[in-house]
Amino acid sequence: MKKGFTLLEISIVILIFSLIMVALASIYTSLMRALIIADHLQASLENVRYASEKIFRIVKYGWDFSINSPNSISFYDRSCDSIFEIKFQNENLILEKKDPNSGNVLESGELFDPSLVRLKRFEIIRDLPNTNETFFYFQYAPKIIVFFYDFELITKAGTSSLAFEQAIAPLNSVMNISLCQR
Amino acid sequence: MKKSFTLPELSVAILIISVALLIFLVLSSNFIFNLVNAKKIFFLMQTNQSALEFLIAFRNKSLETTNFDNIQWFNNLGSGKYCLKINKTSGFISSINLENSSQPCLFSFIFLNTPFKIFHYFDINIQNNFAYITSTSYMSDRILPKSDLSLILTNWHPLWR
Repeated sequence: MKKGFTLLEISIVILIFSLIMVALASIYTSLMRALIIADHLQASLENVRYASEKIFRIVKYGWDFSINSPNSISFYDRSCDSIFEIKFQNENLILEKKDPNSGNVLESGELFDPSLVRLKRFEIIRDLPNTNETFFYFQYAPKIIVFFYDFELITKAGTSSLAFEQAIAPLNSVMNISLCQR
Repeated sequence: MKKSFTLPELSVAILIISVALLIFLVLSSNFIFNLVNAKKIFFLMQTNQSALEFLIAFRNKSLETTNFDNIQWFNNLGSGKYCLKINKTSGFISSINLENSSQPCLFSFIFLNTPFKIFHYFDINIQNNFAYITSTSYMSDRILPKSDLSLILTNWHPLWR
């Protein structure tokens, strides 16, 4: 009667067990790596989503838009109390709030977290109203403003690109007069 | 002394190991799927939102060329499926149009050259003075389900006078 295992049997069992453990460890490492990247990517995407929502809200209610260069826009806020300026600077967007009378900067800050995203390119385009009339606000107000963003999302495993367009139809573009004409 | 394993014992042992491995693999494949598709989902949502903004702009632009008294912008539109056509000339968006189409169209981005194709269409259902609009977009690879976003627009402009 066989009472124990031979050396050969034990060796084969250990070899098979080792191979399974190596495979499992490899899957586990990949899983953890994917989890960390997914976590970072989600944080970067959340930051992009949050900042672009903020841009959407303030532009949606803005008045008297002025696009002086393809990557800078300024406009009055919804209550005409201040002027907002969004400009592309140092791989980020800077949002400035200015006093409409003196032009002094009241608040200024970066819209995107530089540890999570880098903005490589930013451009603005608007529509061309079909009229030469400039009497009523709706005749010359932009009906659509499109922002183009080209991001690099930063993760521990490297960077990942994200480019998208954000179109905004300002709410006040159908008004008869601008409440805060410059 | 027990000399070997019976067939049911072996089967149960293999089943337990298989289930454990399967859970592990499903979890990891879910993470990888989310990782690959998180950006695409974000992109589809942005496309739908932007398309609806263009539709609002299409409505608002009708103010520029017509007598703005009692404008009913979708009277000539009719219910059905429409594609968005945007033209750009000399640094401006020169026109926004809706084109009746039974098939979804490639979404016309202004700056963007995507490595993947995005198809888009509006489903416009007009009832009395309301247009019930659904913006639908999907990737050409069809891995992700279609993404929808809805909006209700009135037949008149919200013109403040």
